[in-house]
Amino acid sequence: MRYRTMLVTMAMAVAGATPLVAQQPVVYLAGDGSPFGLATATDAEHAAQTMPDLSFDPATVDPESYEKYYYFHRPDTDFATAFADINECDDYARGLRTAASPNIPGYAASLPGAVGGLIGSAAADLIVGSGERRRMRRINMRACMGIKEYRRYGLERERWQAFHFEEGLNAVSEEDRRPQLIRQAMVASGPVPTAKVLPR
Amino acid sequence: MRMIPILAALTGLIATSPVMARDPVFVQSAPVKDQPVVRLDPAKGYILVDSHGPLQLMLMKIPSAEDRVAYTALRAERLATLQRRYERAAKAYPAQMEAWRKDRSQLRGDRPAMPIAPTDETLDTLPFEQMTAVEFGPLNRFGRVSRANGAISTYLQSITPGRYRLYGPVSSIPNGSVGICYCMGSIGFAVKAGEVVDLGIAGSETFVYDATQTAEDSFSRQPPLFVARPESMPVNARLKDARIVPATFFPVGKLPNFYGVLVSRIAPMPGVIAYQRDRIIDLTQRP
Repeated sequence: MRYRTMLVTMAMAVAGATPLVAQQPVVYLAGDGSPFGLATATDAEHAAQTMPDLSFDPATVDPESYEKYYYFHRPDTDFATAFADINECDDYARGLRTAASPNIPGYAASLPGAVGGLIGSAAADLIVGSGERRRMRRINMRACMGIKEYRRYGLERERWQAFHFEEGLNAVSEEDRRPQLIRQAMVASGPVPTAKVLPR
Repeated sequence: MRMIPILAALTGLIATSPVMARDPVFVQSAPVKDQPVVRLDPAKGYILVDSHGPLQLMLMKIPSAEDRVAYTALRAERLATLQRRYERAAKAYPAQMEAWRKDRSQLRGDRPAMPIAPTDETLDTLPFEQMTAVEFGPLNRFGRVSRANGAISTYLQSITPGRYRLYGPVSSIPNGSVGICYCMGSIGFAVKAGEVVDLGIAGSETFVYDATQTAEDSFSRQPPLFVARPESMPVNARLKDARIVPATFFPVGKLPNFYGVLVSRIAPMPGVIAYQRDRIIDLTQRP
């Protein structure tokens, strides 16, 4: 438990590091962009989605619930940038993209491959159950969007559910996922919220 | 709580086994045993790091030109194998379908699945980085020295010469890996045959904050993961005859979260890496 807490603290600490406020010219590393390629949405896809309703009375909501129900916003950010950023973070947060399987060349020969084949699935559910995976997803979205300097705002549960998904052991399909990410990007690049900014 | 001992047991089991490709072998790596006399193989490279606590790191090879050729060939070979398998299955499919359609017995199974042609996109070959992942620590320490301000653990591991990147403190167990990946920015270094690359000291105890920098400056907020070995912390005496060179670090870009762990990036490192939002600044290059 302490190990896990420590990891989370470390991840958040680094993620929350304030970036260099540099006035002097800098050299960006070549190819420092998203490892998943640049995600784009067409104008038609964008136009097909409506702006989510973010209005609610904070007095009726337990602030503890903001740990789960929140959205991101960054001033002076356009939709295309926000969509690319949210997709990149979603790609990190969706976890195991490459499922370990005994028929993967170069993998079965290794001990982890063998162990994975025998007890991997059972151990995975034991160690990282569905609830834990959903929690990891939230942490990774916060860490990644925090690094990109998006601010986090709390939301009422039902309003949140209208344009977000949780992902545990069962993956959310692309066709369900994409419209929601588009709406999240609309919010992230939309009007500046008047609500209180939450810690990253 | 109950899960932790199991987790620890699994971590221990895996920690000793570098994830390696079978064909071709891109990277071979093994910890140097904690023996009174140490003989290093001049054909191999070595990585040395001292740490204030138990260390668990995952490295991945940065592909060389030869690696890229070999990896591309490996993918092509795999694709050809799957293509042959697909062609056989596609040829057999009409007859299977016919038999299934005619079968009226209670033992009739599900409708035979239509074979799908493999493509480069659907290929199941692991990414090069994941194929070359090497873990070291926390087990198989090369040495441990008790000091007034805490013990120092030394890790020494042989590795195929080449360029490597630090993927982060990650322990890989399929479908249940733990740790933090430096997926959003990290550092790399080169390992040459016959040399011991000294990564320095892992941990923040020797880090001195620069009081001239403002709190807004990321350098003053996070200690770097590695600091150069100070004079007061000599290399293990058993390595006195080894050719030890301090690591020359360089920044490396983003990688996917291959193991589904926590996502972060390495702390800024003076002279090596800094950030603006999620952009990576190469401090080894002068503007």
